[in-house]
Amino acid sequence: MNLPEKWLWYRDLLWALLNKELTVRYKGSVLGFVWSVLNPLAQAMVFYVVFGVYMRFSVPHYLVALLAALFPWQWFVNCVNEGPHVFSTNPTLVKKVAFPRQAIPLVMILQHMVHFCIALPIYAAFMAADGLTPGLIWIGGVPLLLLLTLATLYGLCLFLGSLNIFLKDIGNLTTIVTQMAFFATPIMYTLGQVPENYYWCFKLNPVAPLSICWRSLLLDNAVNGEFLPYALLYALIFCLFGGLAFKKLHRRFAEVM
Amino acid sequence: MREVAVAFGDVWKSYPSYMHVVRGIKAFLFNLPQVFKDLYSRRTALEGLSFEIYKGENFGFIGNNGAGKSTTLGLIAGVLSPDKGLVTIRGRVSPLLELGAGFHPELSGRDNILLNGVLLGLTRREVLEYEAEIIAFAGLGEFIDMPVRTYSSGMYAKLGFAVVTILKPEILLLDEILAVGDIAFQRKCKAVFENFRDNPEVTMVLVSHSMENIAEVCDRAAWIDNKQIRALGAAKDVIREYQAANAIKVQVAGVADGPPPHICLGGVEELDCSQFPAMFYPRVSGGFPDPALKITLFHKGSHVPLGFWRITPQLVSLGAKDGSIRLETASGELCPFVPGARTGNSGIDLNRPLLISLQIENLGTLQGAAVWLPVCAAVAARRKLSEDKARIMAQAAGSGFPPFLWPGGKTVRVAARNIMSHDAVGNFAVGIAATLAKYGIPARLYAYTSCAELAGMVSPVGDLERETEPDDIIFYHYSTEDEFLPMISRLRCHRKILYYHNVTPGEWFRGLDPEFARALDRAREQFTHFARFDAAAANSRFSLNDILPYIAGDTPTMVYPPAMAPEKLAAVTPEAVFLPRAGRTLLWVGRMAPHKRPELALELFSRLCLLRQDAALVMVVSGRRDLPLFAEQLENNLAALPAGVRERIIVYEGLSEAQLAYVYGNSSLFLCTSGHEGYCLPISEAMSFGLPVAAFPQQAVEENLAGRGTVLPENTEEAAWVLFTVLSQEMPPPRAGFSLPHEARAGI
Repeated sequence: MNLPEKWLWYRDLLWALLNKELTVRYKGSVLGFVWSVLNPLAQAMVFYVVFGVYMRFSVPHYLVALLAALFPWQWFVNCVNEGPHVFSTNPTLVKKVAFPRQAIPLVMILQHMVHFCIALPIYAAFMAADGLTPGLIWIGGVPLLLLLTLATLYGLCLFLGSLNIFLKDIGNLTTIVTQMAFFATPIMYTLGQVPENYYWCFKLNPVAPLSICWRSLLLDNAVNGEFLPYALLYALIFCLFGGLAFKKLHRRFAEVM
Repeated sequence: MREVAVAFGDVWKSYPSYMHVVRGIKAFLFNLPQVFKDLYSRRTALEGLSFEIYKGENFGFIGNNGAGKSTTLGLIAGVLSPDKGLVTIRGRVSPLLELGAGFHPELSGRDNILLNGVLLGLTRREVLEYEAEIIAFAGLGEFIDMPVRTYSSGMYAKLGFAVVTILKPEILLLDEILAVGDIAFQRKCKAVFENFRDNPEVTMVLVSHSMENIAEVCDRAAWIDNKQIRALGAAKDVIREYQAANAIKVQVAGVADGPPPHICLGGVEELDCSQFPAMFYPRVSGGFPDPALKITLFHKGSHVPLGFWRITPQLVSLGAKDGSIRLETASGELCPFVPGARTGNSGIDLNRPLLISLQIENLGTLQGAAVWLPVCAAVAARRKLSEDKARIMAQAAGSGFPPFLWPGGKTVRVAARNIMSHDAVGNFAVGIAATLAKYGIPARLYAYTSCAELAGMVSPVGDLERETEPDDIIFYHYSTEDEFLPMISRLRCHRKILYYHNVTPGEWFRGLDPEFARALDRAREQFTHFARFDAAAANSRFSLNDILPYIAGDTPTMVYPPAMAPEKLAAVTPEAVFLPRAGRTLLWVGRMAPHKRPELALELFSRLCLLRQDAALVMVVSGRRDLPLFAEQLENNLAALPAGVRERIIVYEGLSEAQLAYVYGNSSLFLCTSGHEGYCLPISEAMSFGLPVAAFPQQAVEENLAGRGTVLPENTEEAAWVLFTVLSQEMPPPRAGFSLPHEARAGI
């Protein structure tokens, strides 16, 4: 196969696998992909009632603010929790077919990204209902953050997926860590509620900068200049480690599975 | 010079023992020292494979289970990478999907074609080009847009086959050709295969247990045996060599002539020359005036001879020097070593356990059974050897203890004509010896015919004569004509116990193999020697009745089943094999021999199919090569069945224990059609899996069932009705921990 033909094949491979994932995921359920939106919506409602109504957080547009962070988080956490098992749940692809195995996590992440993109108009509707409007900055900002999130997740899932084949506890560990990360990241609370001298905590937390950037963009129609470099840095680190782990281990996948 | 499609250059492959790591962090932390050992200990799967497959050629791999065939295919497919050596592939390789295994049950047939095609390495546009052709070939009509989970197993296989064949991979990997679908579709498949076979652009690599398939399809073949290539060349020659080595039928010698010439080792069980040369004196008893001994050297676990010596029976010493093994006579004269043809550049590895076989040679031809003896030339090898032996003994030892009275301080000598691994009599004999050893009672095994796997555990029967002391107990197994029975029955010892495994009446084999039938008749004539035994046991009351007239009136007798631990198979981790999707799956297990009446199973099943449309029959057979005439008859019976019935029968040969366990665990009913049994082991196995059993009336079988199964009426039409009633009842679900076959296939 010459080079352009190979790329054409990669594209078709991703397309075929993605198509399979999307078709299969909600097959036989009545509401279908609506579930992927309902979950964060329900979560947002709970937080809104508990913190917005009972505990009276003084955050303007609190419900929309919640959604602005919860939709990206949903994408993120779904991928990370699935990440460790991404290779082990596809034994046929790993053991029987010689094909770029790095496509497996990519397809999984793309599938969740599609759900996220579908949720964006719904989010916009909530904005409109609360008297807010999406800014022009979305045209450049959304693709940028999509790419950044994709890169972060890809590195992370490659890393977790490769390691989990050899050390089964990674999967369990990941669920705990993501739960902790949820509270360590400004999602149900906003950055504004936290004293600025604690910001370094969010800079050390590898998932917080990305979440902060998403909310800035979606809620405030702004690029967060303080946290965006950190989000870039962590994406780079994850990609590096994920790529290394995969490169080192993937030859042995079929042996152990 | 032909173009090479696949080339292996001295390819080595091993698998890690990641056991502790894979089991999780807890096991990892608690077994740290073991873990570090494990990280470096790998079990080898291939040892220095070299071969070339040319473009357009049809190449077959044959060999026993676990020999390394699947690893080889994995390396060609590119899902595994070699530890050492070079694998070169030129061309697009089809993935190792079993037919339809790559299908996702929720996707439509059309979507699955696209997915499979892309996985095969084609772009979407290329697949769409062929789509119409595939759909037409599979002949599924409007089903093509339905999810494949709604397909019957025949449709499933048709689509799978159509995809693989139409998409024309340049190198086609096939793990068994499945005869799928109805007759019309099979004919279509055959035409396609012939097309592939004759197409100079397509290289076919086939792994199969069916010699007929390999012979029909392949130009050349390689026999992989114990991680190495044992033979490579024209398919017909390789198959002949393989069959010759695997024919387990034991040659029969006339009893009237007395025992055949045989080798005695004088009690030597192992040659340890790790520090000093090991002395031993192989003798030849009976027969020729001046026989020669051919001593062949192997790596243990390999059947590739490293070389051989030819000596006259005398005191010799075996020593390790300068990285080679030397055989010297007592006077210090070096015996010439003739190196093997296929030893290659790897030579002799003294750190591995070695093995010698001794065989009598007279006037240039080998005579009688070989005697096997392990050799260790290094401390590491000795440790490995004793570990291997301990493992085999631990596996063989039963949980139960035969309730004989074993007086202490006496050696029990367990003897039989043939003690082979993977044979019922052999397993039981080794099991008895291992169980006795577990309880601290010294036990030794003796046989005329044994095998390399049991080297160091089974002594030549000639030694029994010399070693038996007046205080010993002899535990003798009888299942076939034995030239040594007169000798054994005359031995003087404390007690001689007979265990009778039953001899199939010669009548069953008269038409098929007259010589074998005569040997069976002669075996029954030998019963007169049983009068000299002090106690008699049999595997069933039925068998005991056979020999009662021949044993003295006051001799104690008992019935003891020949299974050391019948539940053992149920504890094996099952390995999935393809099973037809059916409401009720009937299972038949047995040898392809006339007294097992496999044809009756076919007849009964085709009658059952008239009553019930969702039944399937799985036959797990062995020994098809022993009686080719009978196997052929059965093939014809099978082909004569109506397509709808034939489609729902699967015949497996050479399943591993793990695969057998899977089949037992996923069937609905065990069917026994045997017309003669001493004891039916498969019934015990089936019952240990909780399978209901239906059997035709036969005394030993009914005894075995003890009222817990269904005894079918002799008339097959009535039997089919009875079976239908049994199958219509609520069935217990498959055992927990077993995945259903269609789940096993819903991989991606």
